Order: sequence, then structure tokens, then C-alpha cells
Amino acid sequence: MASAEQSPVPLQHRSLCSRVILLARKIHSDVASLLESYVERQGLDRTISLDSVDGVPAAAMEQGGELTVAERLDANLQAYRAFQVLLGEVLEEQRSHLTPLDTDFHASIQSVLLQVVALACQLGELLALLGHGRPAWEAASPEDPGHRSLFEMKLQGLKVLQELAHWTVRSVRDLRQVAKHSQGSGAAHGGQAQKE
Amino acid sequence: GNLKCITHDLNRMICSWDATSSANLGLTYKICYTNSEPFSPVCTETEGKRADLPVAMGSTNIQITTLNASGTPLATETFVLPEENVSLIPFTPQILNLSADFSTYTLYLKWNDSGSVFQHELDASWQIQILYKETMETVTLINYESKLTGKDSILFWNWTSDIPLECTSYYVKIRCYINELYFTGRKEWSEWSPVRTVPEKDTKPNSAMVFPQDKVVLVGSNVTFCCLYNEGKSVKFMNYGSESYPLLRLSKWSSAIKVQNVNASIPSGTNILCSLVPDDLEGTVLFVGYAPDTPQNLNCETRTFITITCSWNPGRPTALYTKRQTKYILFERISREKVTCKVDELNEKHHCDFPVHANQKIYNFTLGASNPLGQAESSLLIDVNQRVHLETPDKFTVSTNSSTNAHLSWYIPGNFIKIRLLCQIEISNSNSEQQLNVSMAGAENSNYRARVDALHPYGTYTFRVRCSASEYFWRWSKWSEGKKLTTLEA
Repeated sequence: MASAEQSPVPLQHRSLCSRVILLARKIHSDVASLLESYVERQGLDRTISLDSVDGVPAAAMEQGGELTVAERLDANLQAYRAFQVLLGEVLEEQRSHLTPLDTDFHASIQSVLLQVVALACQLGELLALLGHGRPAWEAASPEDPGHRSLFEMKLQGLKVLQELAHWTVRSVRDLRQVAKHSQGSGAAHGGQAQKE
Repeated sequence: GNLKCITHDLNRMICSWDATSSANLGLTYKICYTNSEPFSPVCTETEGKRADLPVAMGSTNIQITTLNASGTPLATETFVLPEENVSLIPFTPQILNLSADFSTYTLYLKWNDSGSVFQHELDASWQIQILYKETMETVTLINYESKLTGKDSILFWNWTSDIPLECTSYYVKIRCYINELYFTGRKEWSEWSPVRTVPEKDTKPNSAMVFPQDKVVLVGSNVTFCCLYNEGKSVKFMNYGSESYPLLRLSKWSSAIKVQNVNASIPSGTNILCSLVPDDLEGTVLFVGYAPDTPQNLNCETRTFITITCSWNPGRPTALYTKRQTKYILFERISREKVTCKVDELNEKHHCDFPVHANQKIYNFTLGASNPLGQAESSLLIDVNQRVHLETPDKFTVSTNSSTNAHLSWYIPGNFIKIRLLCQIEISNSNSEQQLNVSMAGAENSNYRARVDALHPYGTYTFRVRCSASEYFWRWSKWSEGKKLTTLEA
């Protein structure tokens, strides 16, 4: 009788999922503490309304409309690619305009930025592993902040960090779905093996 | 009856009267006038009940005859018009230009004084009135004196508001009063000029905004912030930092808050929020800091005779950063050369390099510090030869081929051809330490050598060296690294 042999792809797939989940959690905790120092250094109140700030990917998902695995991963990938650019702008604005001497603060923004880059890479790998192909992307050069006032820069930075925090929560949820889905499709492969 | 004469220029006068006859159609008026000089009367006819006559010294006799359409006299009136009954009302002035510098809240007014209207010098008084356009409420009424010179002159005047000019629209108008001492008639203010408003500001705000935008002010200032919004919106609250302030309504589209005695801001500036209904949030940032302190402990010395390095302490922090930070310029009066200093804000001590000039000994430095809130300076006069502070001796080597002496060599960067150096060699061993002073000619980017005698055979010594200018001692260089040596056996 043929024993159920685990196909290597689902295993590789699930370990990548776990790594993404771990990284997303790490980013979440880093962003949480970064938010504390951000609002303090910008003299902002955490509860300030950010509705007037646009151009930041919203983590909240439209109601209903179940996404496929590929759609979920792609949405995450697009978001973290956008955050790469946005965080780059936030870092530049803090260095040049708002907190020029606060090098430690800049380092913590830089650290989150690098983790976001890594996360985007892993998501790309995951998409490729699932056979959906890794969407090409070229990091757009950061928008010229020249047109933003200093106050708008502050709000923009706060919104970027808040939405990034929300995205990391969503990513953990999405990646669990993806992992669960791959577990199911992995068992199906196993089942077929038994039939033969 | 009721003849009224006014003059704008003390040269001609315009007289107007009420018609005695009730019939008005087709009437014409014949005016004959003479004044106290023995001239025959001059007559003129006019359809309107006004006539343009010369202003004469003393009285003017005027006879007005009302004629009907066929020229038949209907009535005649005679007047004796003393100069006292003539009113001097200057021409209505015209504002040539009204512009604004929004960054300094200043309105600039330019107008023509029409001095050529009068052939001689006269004292003129002007009133400049500034009103809030929407409410026509007077903001300020200023009196301004000038002298008419018989020629047209352009007059300038400016007014600085205590709130940003963007906050509301203003009307400006002017009027004139001529104080001609030798004119015995009544002197009255001219009409107000047509109102002018700042061109760019005379429109409804197309999107909500808070002013001033990203301004820099001194600690302790009183600052007014306004929130401009468009139709259908209103202000819910305005905060300075985390504190809410009472709202002042400036116009339909503008509300303001006044903040007194502001404190120094955090590096990213204090936020001013304007929360609007329905859901909108606008804001700006205020940077509150100090003018630069006088640069302290200014010292200038040369390390290499190639550049002079000036260093100083910035003094009290200004709390201002990036493009608002203090800029330093080092100016040398003799050569009139200027260097813009690149300073590192993180560093407590600032430095700036200035080139040594071939044939210049004396340097008269002024270090200027400036930021958006003010400036300060320090000066220092030096003789570069008396301010030589050599670099640490480098590539220090010691060697011997005998039991009683040692050869030392070291390298010092810089061009010291014009001076002699004094170097101090420290020789120490387990039970003694002594210092030897050696004078030598300076060289350019060169190795220097010295020999130490009278050492003990098979003795272990540690050598190190430092140098300074010989003729005018200023400072020792740092010590070189120590080098150990054992002399040969006897």
C-alpha cells in the first residue's frame, strides 16, 4: 500500500507562511513602539483625525467578497510595496524637516522600513511558490514632499504608521488563511497518492 | 441764490448755485466776474449751474444772469465772494499700488501726491484708513505728513498687521488735506480715494487652510492663528499644541485664536489644529525659538599653515533646526574674504576653516551667526604666526646603533618653512623621566629628526615627542605615541 508522501511544496509553502507571520508580528510590535515616539516627537495626539490624509493603503477590507489566496497575497504585497515608498518619505521628511538631530528615531524608522522590504520579498516568494508569478514592481521614487506643509507631513507619517500596524494584523490573518488553504490542498495531494 | 465755490488747486475754483427761477428747461446762465483789481468783468455762459472761475486774492464780484432759450434775461444776481467763503478741497488722491508681503504681514501702499497741482511747497496731511472688507470696520486710521514740492512725488507707506494678511481681506483708502497758510478760505479733507484691496487676497478661500504657515517666532511672542474655510463649513475648535483656545470670528470664512507668550517648541514645531464641521482637519506648525547667541570662546589657529581653523561654542540653543538653524559666516576684513561655515548641529563645538593667504600675517575675523529670528557676531584679530598649533607628530620612530644615543624621527603635516619649531622629547625609564627641548627649522610636510645622547648602555627607554612654534609659543601639539628602545651594551 503506498504511504502518504508529503509533497515538498506545501511544506516549503507553510514554512514561508510562518516566517511571514513572524515578521509581520515583529513589524507590528516595532511599529507600536515607533508610534509612541512618533506622536511625542511630532507633538500630535494619537486620536487626531486622519481622514483628510489619503494615499495610504487601507487595511480594512470591503465587506463580503471572499478573496482567493492569490488575491489575498497580492493585496498584501501591493500594500507593503507602497509602504516601502511611504516609509522612505516619512524618514526623509523627519531627517530634513522635522527631527533632524534625532538619529535614534530615524534608525527605528529605518529598521521598520527594512523589515517591510523583507516582508514584501517573502510575499513575492510565496506568490511565486504558489505558481501565481511575482508581480513586477519598481519602487517609485518618493513623492516630492515639497508640496506638503509640515503639518501635512506630520499627519501623513502618523497615518502611514497606523495603517502599517493595521496591515500587519491583517497579514497575520490572511497568511493563516493561506497556510490553512495550503494544508487542505497538501492533504488532497496526499489522498490522491493513496488512491493510486 | 446760495453760491458755493470750491478750489482744488488754489488756481481755479468751481462755483455752483441754485437757480432762482423755477423754470429749468432751456435755461442758460451768463456769469460775469471781476475781482478787486481794476479789470473789466470777464463773462462766460454755461448751461449747467456751475462755472469755473480763477481764484483771486481778496474778493471776487460775481454776477449771474439767467437767460431763457431765446436769450432773454429772466433774473440777475450779484455776489461778492470773499476768499474766506471759498473752500480748498484737494483733488481726490489715487492709490497707485497696494501690495502685500504675507511673510511679514505687511501691506505696501504707493500713491502720487499730485504736488504739481500747486506751484509752490505746501504741507500736506494724509489719512490712510484700513478696513476689514467684509464688515467695513476700521482696523486702523493713520495720519501721515508730507511736503508737496511743486512736482508730483510718489509716496510710500507700509503697515504691519498683527494677524496674518491671509486671514481676512482688507480695504485701504486715503485722503488728503492741504494746509496752505496764506489761503484764508476754509480748508477741508479731500474725498476718500477709491478703495483698494490686496489683489491675490480678494477671493474666497478655495480650500481650508490655517495661517501663518510654518512661521518662526521668538519665545514669548503673542501669535494669532486663523483658519480659513469655505462655504458650508464652520470651525468646531482650534488648538494650539494640546490646548483649545476661544474662537474669534474674523469673517464669514475665517476664525482665529490668539495665543500669548508662546514657549519654545519641540524640534518638529508646535502644531496648530483647526477642526472643521463637517469632518475636516487643517493645521500648521509654529517654530518658537531664540535668536542666535553671541558665538562664545571664539578661537582661531592654524594647524598646518594651510588653513586657519576657527572654533567656538554656539551659546544658548535656539531650539530651531534644519533650514531654520543658525547659519555661520566667517568674514575676514583685511582680505574681505568670506567663508560659509558648515556646522554639525549635533556637535557642541563648531568649526570653520579659512585659507591662509601667502602674504598675510594679520587676520581680522568676524564670525556672523544668523537665523530667522536675529543675528549676532564675535570678532577676533590674530597674527597667524602666533597661533600655530601643530598636529600630533606622526610616524614616530626611534633607533640606535650605539650604547649611549638614539635617533628619533617623526612626521608633521603642514607648511612651516617660514618659522622655527620647538620640539620637546620626553625620555623616561623605570626610574627617571626627563624632557629635552630641541629647536629646528620648519619644513613642509616633512619628517623631522633629532638625536638624544648621554643614554646609559643597555638601558630601556620610552620616548615621545611634541612640538610647537618656537618664536611665538601658542600651544603644544599632542604627544606622539610612545616608543620603547634599548641601547646597545657598552
